[in-house]
Amino acid sequence: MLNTSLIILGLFLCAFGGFVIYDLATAKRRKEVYRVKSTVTAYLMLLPSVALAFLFILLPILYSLGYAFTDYYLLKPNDIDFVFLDNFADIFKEISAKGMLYNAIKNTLTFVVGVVPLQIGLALLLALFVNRPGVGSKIFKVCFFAPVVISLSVTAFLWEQILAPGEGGLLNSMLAMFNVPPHDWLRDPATAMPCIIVLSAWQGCGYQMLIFLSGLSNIRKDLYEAAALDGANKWHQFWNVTWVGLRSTFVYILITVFIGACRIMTQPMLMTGYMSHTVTLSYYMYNLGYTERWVGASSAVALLMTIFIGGITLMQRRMFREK
Amino acid sequence: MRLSATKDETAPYLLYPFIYAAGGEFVSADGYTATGYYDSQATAKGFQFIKDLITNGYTSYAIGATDFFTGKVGMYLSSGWTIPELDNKYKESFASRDDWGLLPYPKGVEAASATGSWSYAITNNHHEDKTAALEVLKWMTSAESSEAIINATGMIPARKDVVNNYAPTDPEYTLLKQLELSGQERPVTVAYPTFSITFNQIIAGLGNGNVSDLIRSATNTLQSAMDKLKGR
Repeated sequence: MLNTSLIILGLFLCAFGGFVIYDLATAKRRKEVYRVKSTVTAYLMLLPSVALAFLFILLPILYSLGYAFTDYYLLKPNDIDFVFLDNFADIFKEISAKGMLYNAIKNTLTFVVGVVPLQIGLALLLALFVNRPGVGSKIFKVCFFAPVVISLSVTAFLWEQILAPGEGGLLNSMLAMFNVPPHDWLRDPATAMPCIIVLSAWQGCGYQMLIFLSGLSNIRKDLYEAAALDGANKWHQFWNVTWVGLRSTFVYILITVFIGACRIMTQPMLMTGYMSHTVTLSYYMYNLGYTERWVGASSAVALLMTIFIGGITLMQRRMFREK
Repeated sequence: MRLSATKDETAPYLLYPFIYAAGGEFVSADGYTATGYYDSQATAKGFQFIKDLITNGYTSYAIGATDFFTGKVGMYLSSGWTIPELDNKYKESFASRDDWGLLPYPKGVEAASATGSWSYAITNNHHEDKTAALEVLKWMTSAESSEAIINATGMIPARKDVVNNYAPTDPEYTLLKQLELSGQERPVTVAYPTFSITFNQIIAGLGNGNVSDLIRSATNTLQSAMDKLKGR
């Protein structure tokens, strides 16, 4: 594996060097002396981040792509055979047999459909709420952003206590005041995923709120004045000025929240464990690759997941393209 | 009983002896067959015993990790690490050892108790000369290191030949005797990670689910994992 990595690294450095030489040659041919110096500086400054991106993003992707067509078992790293499409056949077999992968897809889709509108909607509401001058709004901004900086493991643990079964759970003890019997929120298939959706939206919306706020600050105030003069009420102002002004911000948020939602793993892993009613695609992939040690099969799932997320993201970009 | 501890190895480690006590089994001796073992009638009886404890209100998923120490529940299923915890960490609730007692696992058609702790291994990769690694391994499994470990952790020794002065009334003595007389290891199979997952799923499902449905599904999952591993 080390040798392969070195060969790929060598190829990468050759390609990078090729780019530099080509760029320099073009600059020299055009007698752009000033560009030669700046080109070298630019590439040198670029090299550390490109090298890191190559090492931690591109290289694992290339490996994963290759492993998807092998029977790589983690405990037998020196005994890897090419199995062509067998891993993919197994995937479709498990989906048709309604196995754990089927549940993982179903739960991931449920999560995405639930969390994307909820998180974006909450973020927009909070942004509109705090988008006003004053000390109060700064305090709210900090409060709403606070969950973002807390580790997901900590928030998962915190919510586990809130949703704990029996009368000891915070939510159950609050509901007991209204004579609602205690419920096992995370073990009940009907309530586990909605709980995870709510906590994830709560945890993540502060970040999108900040992005919406920067989008809101770019909308010219005179547009609101003009709209008001034309007799537009608050709703019309929001729909025809604010929403239109936030369109590109919304597309960015939609795509990033969607991709993040598709990758959900920490919350179900820490809050429920590997259960059919909360397993997600990333969790399934992790479990298959690291717990059950089938790296090849897990890479095949990763490849299909990447194609799926990439495909939907492209569709979203097309749908919301500026006309 | 920590029925909610199904996210890691806690539930399998603490609860598998109930299945052996009912005469149940998990896998064949070669570790490659689950069908006929994991879904046997005796195994189902063992899981049914746990389900009955839930149904009859003797235990529940709501019991938390510290509920025994804070006095919320009267009994707690645990193992050797809890003894030093009671001695040192929960002095407010348990001032002395007279404030609590230790019972062995319940006996069914046979007696069984949980064994197994950390393990050490050397791989055949990475280095040609394994002498130093072997020396470390020998020391880590020696009576000398075992004694150092029990002195540091307060737990019972992993080796019989380590000198201990436990009185017959000590909880450590009960635990040690139980292990000597009825200790049974977890199922030995290369598909153990899958076994652990399926065991957790059965425990999590016992509250509302049917035992035979749960073990049938677990057996199918484990068997297909074993079949896949057979050729490797």
